[in-house]
Amino acid sequence: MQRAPAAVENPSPFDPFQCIGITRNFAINETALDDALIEASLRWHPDRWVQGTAQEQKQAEKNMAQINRAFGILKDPLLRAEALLTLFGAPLPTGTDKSASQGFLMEMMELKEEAKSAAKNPETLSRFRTRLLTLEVQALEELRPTFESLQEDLVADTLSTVRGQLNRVQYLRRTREGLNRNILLGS
Amino acid sequence: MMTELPIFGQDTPQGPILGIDLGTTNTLVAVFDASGARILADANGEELLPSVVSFPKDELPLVGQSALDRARFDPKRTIHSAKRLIGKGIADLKEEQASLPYDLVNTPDRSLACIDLGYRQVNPSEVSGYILAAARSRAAQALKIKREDLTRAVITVPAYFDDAQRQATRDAASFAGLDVVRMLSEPTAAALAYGFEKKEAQRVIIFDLGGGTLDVSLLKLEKGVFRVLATAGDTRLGGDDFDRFLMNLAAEKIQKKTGVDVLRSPAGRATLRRAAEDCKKQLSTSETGTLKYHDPQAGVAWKQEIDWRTFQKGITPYVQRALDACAQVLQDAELNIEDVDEVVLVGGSTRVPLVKAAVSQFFQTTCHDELDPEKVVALGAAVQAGILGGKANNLLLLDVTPLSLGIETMGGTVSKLIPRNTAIPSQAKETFTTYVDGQSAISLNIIQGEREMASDNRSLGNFTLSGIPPMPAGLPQATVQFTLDADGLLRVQAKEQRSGVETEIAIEPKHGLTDKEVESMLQDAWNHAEEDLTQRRLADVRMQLDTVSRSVEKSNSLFSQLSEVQRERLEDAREEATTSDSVTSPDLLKGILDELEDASYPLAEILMNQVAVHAVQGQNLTEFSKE
Repeated sequence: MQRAPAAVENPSPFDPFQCIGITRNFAINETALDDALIEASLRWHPDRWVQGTAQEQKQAEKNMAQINRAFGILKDPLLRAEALLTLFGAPLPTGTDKSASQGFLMEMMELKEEAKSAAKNPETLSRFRTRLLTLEVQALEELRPTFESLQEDLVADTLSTVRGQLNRVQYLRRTREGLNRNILLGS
Repeated sequence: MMTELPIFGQDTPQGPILGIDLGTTNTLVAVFDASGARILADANGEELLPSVVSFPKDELPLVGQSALDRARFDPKRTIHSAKRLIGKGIADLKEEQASLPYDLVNTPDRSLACIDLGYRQVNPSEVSGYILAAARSRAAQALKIKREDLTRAVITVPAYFDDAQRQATRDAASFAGLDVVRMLSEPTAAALAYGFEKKEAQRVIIFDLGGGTLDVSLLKLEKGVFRVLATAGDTRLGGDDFDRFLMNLAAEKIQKKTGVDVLRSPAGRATLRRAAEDCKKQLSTSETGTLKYHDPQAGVAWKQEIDWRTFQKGITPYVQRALDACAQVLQDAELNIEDVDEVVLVGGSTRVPLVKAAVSQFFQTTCHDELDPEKVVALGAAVQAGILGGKANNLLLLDVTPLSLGIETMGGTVSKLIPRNTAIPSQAKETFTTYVDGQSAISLNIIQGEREMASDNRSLGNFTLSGIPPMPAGLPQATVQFTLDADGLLRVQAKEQRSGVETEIAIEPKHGLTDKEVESMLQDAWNHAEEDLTQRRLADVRMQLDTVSRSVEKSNSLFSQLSEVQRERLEDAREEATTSDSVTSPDLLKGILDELEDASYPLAEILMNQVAVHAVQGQNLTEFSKE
């Protein structure tokens, strides 16, 4: 069995902002997000519906699953950016997307080399991991003004630039997660 | 599975929901009422119900203390630690089998391990079922309501229990006539018990080290909502490992001194296990503990002082593994040690001073242990019962799944649909397709675990989406939907989008018997078992007393070698024993037995020394003890 190619039809993308009840925006207030989760959970968690009908219980389970999904997306800046991009009508990311800049390709190769030599001792590994995290946070921070401008003006070019930047973030993150795995297995 | 309940009225005529901590070593039952959560005790005020069931042949099973008393002389049919076996296959249990006095078997048709009693087989769910039934009876007695009115329970499980272990626990409850309204993870329950009713948000670590498992959970508490941020653990780490260290230490020394390998016999293992537990308990409160092994029948008596340094050195590797799990949970939540506001210790094994100190040092804070670590989980289960019964409306618990769920794909890798630490309930969908032209069925292998390859993880079951009309490869679109409910139990639905072919399964462990069959079997047994429990226990203790008395009388030629104090104590104990026929309380009789055993200890020591001398002269122990 293999994964089917990404579904072509995509009638109405999931809107995590609407689901959990906060304004659609890249910049997010974490306390406000937590509050929204709590409010939604108090309403829909199945524990609040134990005395309800089977129908109500089923609906509660479904709604709470959606709320959890929305929260999972919104609390992670990368997933949040992806969701926003989709909501703005950008094409879904595909595995074969090669819209990476020459500079990024160079960086990818350098990071790969660096990961190899950093893995040799725990101290360099830990430093390298911190650096990857910093790069990731910086890259996401740089996207903030772009998203602000996207609110007003929808340009296909901008969407594709953002897509490219998100690809870079994704690469940084995968590299970092790969390192974590090595630490766990190697210890 | 949800029960339909009347929409209105919080206290249904059914009676309260019980909170049950079904532990590896002990089980506790609690309720939530006007005064809050409280543990229910038996008629003698005993709160801990040993999680032990004994199955004498041709007689009804015994549960709790009376079963524990039989462990030594009927080790192969006295089942402890069933929780370590529940929902597991025999292949997963190789390590456990070595230290268990009873035998495990695999029944032909299934993947789950079973216990072989010699005259029949019993599965771990059934064993746990008896324990839950006993807890239910105890609650009925304490609350002065009919047992039939206690039909609902919140049962706690280790956070790290997988789907099969949760399902098997649910089965155990249904064997006992209990409907599980919520399965709650143990560390989360502990957090509920503590409450932490502060206004501002705070992050709390629950460090739960029990007999057999470690769970470390990180929760965020705000406005009465307990949200689990991450959980990590080790399903094979606990106080039993500390016991095993002491057991091996003792066995080695005994063998060196006497040539006898006490670990070889099931009875020897059972006795040594209790000796190790006693010593460990002493080491929790003082600097040395006595490790002693006394088997009058085999004529072996041995004892040694163990100082805390030896113990500490022996258990350090296990404590280090526990700290690794703490680091893991912080990494998963992307938080640092400074972000943690409180640390709570749960589980009997956190009484060990080294454990307590190591955790404090790791988190750089003093740990909470105000609530009895052995009771805190049951109290939390009762709080959750209160929440579900509408009695604690101001609280809510948001939990996560501890293990990733996915599907095996081409090449044997896993495609994860629900990663670990995802908040539950949760739903996820993914679309798969065929790779052969005209393929009419898609087989789905449901996987739980963190490893990359499907074969390294646990398979929860296979099912097939069949009846797909012939299409070229890659054209069918099979959408697979996972629904993980608030108990952490999985349902899987699959649908081929173009043809509309559909199938659904709930993952269930493969028992030989249907739930209904086992339920009626068990309830029958239980209804009778309760009545003659006291009589049975009394008879058992009397039998043991008889055995010990006889072996004491056999060595009366050695009485003269005892010191005066020793001889007087032994005379008193013998006197008590010979006049014990009129004693009708099992506990009282047990006291007489224990005293006789202790008083005859010096006698056994003298015997030992003689054995040592004889052994040098070429006579072995068995011959000697037969004299």
